[in-house]
Formats: sequence, C-alpha cells, structure tokens
Amino acid sequence: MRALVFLFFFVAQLTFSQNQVTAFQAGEKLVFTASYNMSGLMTDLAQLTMQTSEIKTSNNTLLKLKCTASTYSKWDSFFKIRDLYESYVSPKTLTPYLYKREIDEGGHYKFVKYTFNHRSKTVKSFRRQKSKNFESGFWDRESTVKIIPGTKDLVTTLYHIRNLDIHKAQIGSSDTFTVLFDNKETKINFTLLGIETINTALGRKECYKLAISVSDSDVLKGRNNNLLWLTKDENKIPVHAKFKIAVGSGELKIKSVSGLKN
Amino acid sequence: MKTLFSVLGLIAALLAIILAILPLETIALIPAAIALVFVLIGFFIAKNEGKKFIKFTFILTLLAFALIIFKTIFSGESEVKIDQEFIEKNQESEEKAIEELENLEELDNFEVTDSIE
Repeated sequence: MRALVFLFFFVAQLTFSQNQVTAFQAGEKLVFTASYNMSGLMTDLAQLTMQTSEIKTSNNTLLKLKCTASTYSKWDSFFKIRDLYESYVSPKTLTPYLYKREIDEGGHYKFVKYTFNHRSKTVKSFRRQKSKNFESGFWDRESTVKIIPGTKDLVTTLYHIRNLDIHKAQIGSSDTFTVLFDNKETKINFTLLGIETINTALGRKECYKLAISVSDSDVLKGRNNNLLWLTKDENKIPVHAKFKIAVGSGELKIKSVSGLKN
Repeated sequence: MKTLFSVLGLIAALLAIILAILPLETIALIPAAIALVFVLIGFFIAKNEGKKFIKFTFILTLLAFALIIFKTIFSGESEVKIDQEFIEKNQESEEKAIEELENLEELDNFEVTDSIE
C-alpha cells in the first residue's frame, strides 16, 4: 500500500511555480479504486480517498489534507487494510506543520508523526511499531531529522503537485522534489510526457501525463512504468495512475469527486 | 492419457472452485478454462470407454464456472464496510492533532513558516 500512496507523490517545483492554492479547497473529496494485477487480471482491492477540510485552532485556520485506504469488505477477512495519512498545512502556502501516518495492513501496524520546524529546518519524528520485545507491545522511537528547505511530507506533496502551474511546463521537461518518508529525504523525479485524452469515471478527460521515478530507491520499477494522469484543467484531478513495484503492478482509477474548487 | 487429463482437469477445477469461493473469482477463470480444456481432451481421448471420472471432473468444472458467474453478477460493486473503529480513530487523530498544533502555535512556529516560501 505504501507503493500505492507513493504513486501519487511525483512532481516538481522548478518549472512549475505556485503562489496560492488554486486547484482545490476545503471540502473536496476524491474517491479512487485501487486495483492490483493478479495473474494478468486487474482485481479491485481497496478504496482510496483524498479529503480536505478546514481545521480551526485557537489562533489559526489550517487545511487538513487526509488520505485513507480501506480494503473492500470482501477482502477484509483475508488482508484488511486501514491506512490513514494526514497532514496539517498552511492554507496559503501548503507548508506542512504536522504529518501523521497510521497504517494497519494485514496486522502490520505502524504509526509515524512528523512535527515540522521550518525555522530550524528540522523535523521531530516519532515512530511506533508493534513489537513483542517491549512490555507495552510497542517499539517507540523519537528522533530529529535535518531537512532541506522545501521538503514536504507525502500527503502535502500529493496536493502540492496539483497546485503547480503545469500548463507552463514544456513537454519532456522533468524535475525533482524532496519528500520525507520513513525518516529519509527521498528525491522523486517526474517528467511531463505529454497531453493525453483518456476515459474516466468522470467522462472523457484531457490529461497531463506524467512519469514518476524515485532516486536511489527501487520502490518504483522501470523508467516509464509509473504514470500519473492529471486532468488538464484548473482542478488537476488525479484521475488515473499506474505503478509497477517489485512484487507486481497495479493502478488507481478515479471513482467519484465532490467539492471541487473550479 | 485419459486418466492424466482427468486428474489435471480435476486439480484445475478444484483450484477454480477454491479461488471462486475466495474473493478471487476473476482469477478463478484461468484454472476453470484450463480445466475445461483438459476435460474436453479427456472426453476426446476416452471416446466410448469409461467416462465416469471425466464426467465428474466436467461437472466440477461447470460448477466452478457457475460459481464465477454467480459471484460476478451478484456480488455487485465492491464496497467498503462502514468501520466505526476506523472512523473513531480518524476523529481521535484529528483531536490530538489540534492539541499538538496549539502547542506549536505557542512556539510561534506558524508565522515564520508561512513566510518561508
């Protein structure tokens, strides 16, 4: 499931400038079907949702970006997945302040929390895993990670790419951006392959076709095997994605949308 | 030869039934189709001699196909069960996050970060 989520996290900053949030707003909900290739046949495995909402604290209003993954009920008895990824960001700049990832995949549990401090360019990390070696049943680790300016978490990056001015980019142009994942800064490269019209649950859509790869990692396989299609409009909805990982391949397809900004 | 194809057909048919019972009815089509091929070859080889075993395998293959078709038609669209525990976990996570963000605000982190980009 990590790869499924990873799939979304591609895109750049150099060619594509971004000043304010134009592609989405609080209250938006995107629902996807995640399928996995089993013996050459695509099998629907889980439902992914991407939701945004407004969060008020005593002094500020923040944007909450949330991604969840849940296996379809018929799979729950065999391999139950309940993943929660959330990020609390500035509604103006999409700067992340707090990121949480809580995954439960077939009994494998992991909780990660990143608290960003952009002034000191550090992230306070808290990680929790199930372990029989500890009385509490959990192995907790705290650490501080140095980051470079512009480093984001997975969820924020996912929304950040939608907010980029991709229409200004040249076909064939590529770029790299940095994502903090598993306490490591990971470089993700993307290339704008072109404009393609595809059939989706939302109808026939003209889309930006992007290829994604991860530097110094074999999470995603192949050069142009990991692809993302974003609608070529102001919403830049991720309508389709294909991925290839070590243990197989799969795809994400948009199922429904609501609360779009444009 | 007849026995060989009958046994292979039986194995494929049983596998198809097992996969069809599990939520793998799409994949079950592969062994079901293989079973059908073996059964047909078995029928062809057997001609008029003892076809009991191959008939049994054929019935199992038909059963596998029936199961696959039934599940494809009646299992409907894939749905996610409303998971109250997961919903509560989401809410708790948000409540905790707000508390943590309040503490961050006390650290005067926000205005600085907002002006960074």
